[in-house]
Amino acid sequence: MNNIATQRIKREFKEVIKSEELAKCSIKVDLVGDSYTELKGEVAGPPDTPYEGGTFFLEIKVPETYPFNPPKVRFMTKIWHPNISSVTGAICLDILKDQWAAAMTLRTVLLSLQALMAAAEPDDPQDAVVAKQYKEFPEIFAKTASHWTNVYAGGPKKNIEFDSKIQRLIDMGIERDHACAALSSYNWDLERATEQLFS
Amino acid sequence: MASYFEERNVNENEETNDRIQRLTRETFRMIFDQDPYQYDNIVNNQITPPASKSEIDKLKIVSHDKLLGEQCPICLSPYQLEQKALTMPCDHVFHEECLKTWLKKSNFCPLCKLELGTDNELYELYKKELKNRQIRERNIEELHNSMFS
Repeated sequence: MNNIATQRIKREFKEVIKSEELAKCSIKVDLVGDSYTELKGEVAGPPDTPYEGGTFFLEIKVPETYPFNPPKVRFMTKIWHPNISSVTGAICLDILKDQWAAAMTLRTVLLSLQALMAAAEPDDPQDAVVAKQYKEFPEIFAKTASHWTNVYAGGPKKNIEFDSKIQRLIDMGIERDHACAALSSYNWDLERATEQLFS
Repeated sequence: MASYFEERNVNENEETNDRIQRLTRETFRMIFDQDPYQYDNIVNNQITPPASKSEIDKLKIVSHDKLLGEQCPICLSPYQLEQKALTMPCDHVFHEECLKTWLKKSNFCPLCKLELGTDNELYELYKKELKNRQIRERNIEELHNSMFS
């Protein structure tokens, strides 16, 4: 990798390690392998959101042209959020695209992602199904997001009703992740989710 | 019965700034419908073109004694004696090489987003239109306030 990119990532590493946020366990970066081209990020779900108590892992790819182009970031932990794909983890955030500026760092990216988790922008969605639920059924959205945090990110809030509906679909031979995704998409309407899965 | 606003798909609660942006976008679409690609880049994706060469040439060199112990916000390394540093009109300083590489891609300051001029006529026109509308809106507001307060 080009020298300026590597050098900068090394410096940024130190910045994140020294930062207050690391001390509070809210953000973290780790190396993947020996090169500085691929990193693993970690953000804690912000308090007073459905993501509270969860730990979310991120795949960070640093391009050759960094910091003149933004890093490529994707959620590896499954998450239910209007601006993040529930299937691929792709993120819709302006600073990761055309609003990137060369003075931004891994720390600012991770903090922006945390801010995005606390304040979604449903009018600029990445996942249309999630965004629709967020706008039309905010309570179901919050419960669903909280459930996903419990199942995939180690969050504390168990939802017994949702768990039993997922179990019903598993008993019918559906894989757990598919069952959870289908039920979430159909606002936990078991009948409609079943219909969609078997159609 | 649907209200006047509903029928015309108008959001009564739209913020002034949002309305100005929306109207500018719409006007712009009509003017530039022969170049949808550019329109998409500038208006929808808000991709800024590179700074113009003449604007980059105008940037002033910063003397080294002012930069002791400081680091360039782009590469995050300290300023060395043999490296030149440039300042943007907003007083933000960067290595010459770092800043010039950045300005070949985008026209704004990496720290505060202050914009430099570009060679892209379409973009400059759009910016001007947006600014004029904002000035007009402010004038109307001032006039209104002077009459009713």
